[in-house]
Amino acid sequence: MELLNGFVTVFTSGGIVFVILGALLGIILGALPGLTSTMALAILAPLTFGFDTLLALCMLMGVYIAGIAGGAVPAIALNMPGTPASAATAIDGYRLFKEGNQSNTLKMSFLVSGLGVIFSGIILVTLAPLIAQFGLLFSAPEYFALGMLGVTIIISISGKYMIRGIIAALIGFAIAFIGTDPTSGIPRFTFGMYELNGGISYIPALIGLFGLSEVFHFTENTIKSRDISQQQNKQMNNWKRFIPTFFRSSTIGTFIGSIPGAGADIASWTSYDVAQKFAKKGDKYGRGEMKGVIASESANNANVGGALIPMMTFGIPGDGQTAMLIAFLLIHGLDPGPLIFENQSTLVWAMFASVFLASLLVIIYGLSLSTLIIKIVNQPLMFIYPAVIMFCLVGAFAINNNIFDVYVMFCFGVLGFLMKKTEFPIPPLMLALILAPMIEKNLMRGLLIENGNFLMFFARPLFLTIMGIGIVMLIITLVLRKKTPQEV
Amino acid sequence: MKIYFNNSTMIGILLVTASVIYIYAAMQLPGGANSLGPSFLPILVGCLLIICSVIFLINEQIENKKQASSGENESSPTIDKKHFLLVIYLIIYLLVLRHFGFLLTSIPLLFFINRLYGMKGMIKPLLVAVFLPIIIYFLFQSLLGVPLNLI
Repeated sequence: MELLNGFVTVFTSGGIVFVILGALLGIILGALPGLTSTMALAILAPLTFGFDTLLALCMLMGVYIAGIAGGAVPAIALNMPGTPASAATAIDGYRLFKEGNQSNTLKMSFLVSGLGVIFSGIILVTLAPLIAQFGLLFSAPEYFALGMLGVTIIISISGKYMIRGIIAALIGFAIAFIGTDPTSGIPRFTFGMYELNGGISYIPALIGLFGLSEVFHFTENTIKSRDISQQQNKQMNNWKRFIPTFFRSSTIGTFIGSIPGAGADIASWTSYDVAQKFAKKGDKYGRGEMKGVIASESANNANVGGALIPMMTFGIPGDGQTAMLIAFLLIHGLDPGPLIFENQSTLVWAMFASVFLASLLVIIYGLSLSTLIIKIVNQPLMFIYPAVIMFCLVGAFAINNNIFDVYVMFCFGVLGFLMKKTEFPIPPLMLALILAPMIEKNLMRGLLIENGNFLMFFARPLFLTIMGIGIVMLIITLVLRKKTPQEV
Repeated sequence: MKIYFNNSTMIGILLVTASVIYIYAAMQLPGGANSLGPSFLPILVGCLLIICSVIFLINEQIENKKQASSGENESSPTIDKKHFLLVIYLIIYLLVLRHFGFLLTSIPLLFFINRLYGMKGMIKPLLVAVFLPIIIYFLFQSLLGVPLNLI
């Protein structure tokens, strides 16, 4: 019923127009080689700062969902996966594409991407309100434990560079402590600059880390000629044989997505691996098998609904994209956590409705515009990146209409680029920036509750439960990650 | 014991030095002596950063030793001229932005960036450099209400 109200809200408020627009921009930016859905969010989200919260949410969900689906295009069409998640898609997708199944491969990829999100969206709307009810029992020590759960994510998203990931996260924490101390009100590391009293703003930092740093990176990795010839489409026969692969992969994607830190790459590779294990006679995985594309893409996209569960119910970002999404939701006055379902339920259900609408649009755009998308992908990126620089500069300014944010964005852009060059992962730094205030505030509050005795936290059953869940999730993620290729 | 000195070693030393400075700055905060004062978490993070940086340094030394014994050379990250130019363009842009406003500064910036990205001739880079800021100005200033004229 609430979901139905969400759809009504999106349609009556005009939010549907923003979902349509967001999904279109997301699919195009996600499809461009070298641009990722995270970057699409970073450069398009500032457009929403002047919008009403509901309309901004609709557009953000459109960009987020379609950006991930669009990411399959360079993997399939150019064998240039931008993320480890779409690398699994490239294995069979690129071969199918070269064999002449161009339009069909892309159409199938968009179809299962959209359906995958719908599948995980159903699980999201069923489970999230129930989990949020449980979250209402939490107080400061439990929120501190949730923050620590987020810290374990840092270890699992650091991949093969674990110590570098931990260092990146500690740098993020160190930066996050700049600004006024939430307990005493004393300014820390501001060096007399009043602009720093409020701390380092997330959004310019994120735009710099994911937008501008990519531009610097592109400067040396200029993609030159890309040749995509148009060939005749071939009809796919016996599509019913794809159904079990789709449901199996979507289930895997949703489950893995709901484990903070596990992420789309693990979902996609695990699903591909499982699909191979269920291979039937005649299946040619690794040599151009449509089921390979379905396994990877449906899991990669079903991951979205799964990742939104811990994000919306506990405010825990599962990966880089949801961390960015949380930062943008905070800007628009939405504080993800258990209370959001009570205090801002209209917006939450409108957001969930936008997830379904954006998935439908991915299917519609994918089935009708795949030829056009291939043409856009083939445009020289030298036209795109100057525009990205402008969007980064203006987007950073647009948050508070403050030039200082532009300087912050630039500094983080350079930092992000240097981190990439020296193989320090960026997502742990971003996660730390977002989690640090939550951890610090709730640790101090918790200590006040327990009269300064930290050990008393361990006498709280809920605190222990969350810490236990965190350890189990970390073990699952590390085991799964060991089996997942780390290189794109 | 042979000490291998390369980019990773430099990064490790830089991290340790920065951590020490960070801890020192945290200890200077008012109430720094208070165990749960504003400096508690920064000092904790600073100490962890020193420990991790030392582990990083040791790991890199072991890795370098392995590479040296197997005859492999570590590929050091390089930063080429284009990066420097782009950073310098952006620094100059940010310095003059407040004095000349968004449009007047963005047009030359984009022209030079277009040339840097390999756009040939004068007309094409100039056209992109003129029209892109105008479109963005119109989009943000008029449609989205972002006061770019206040920059």
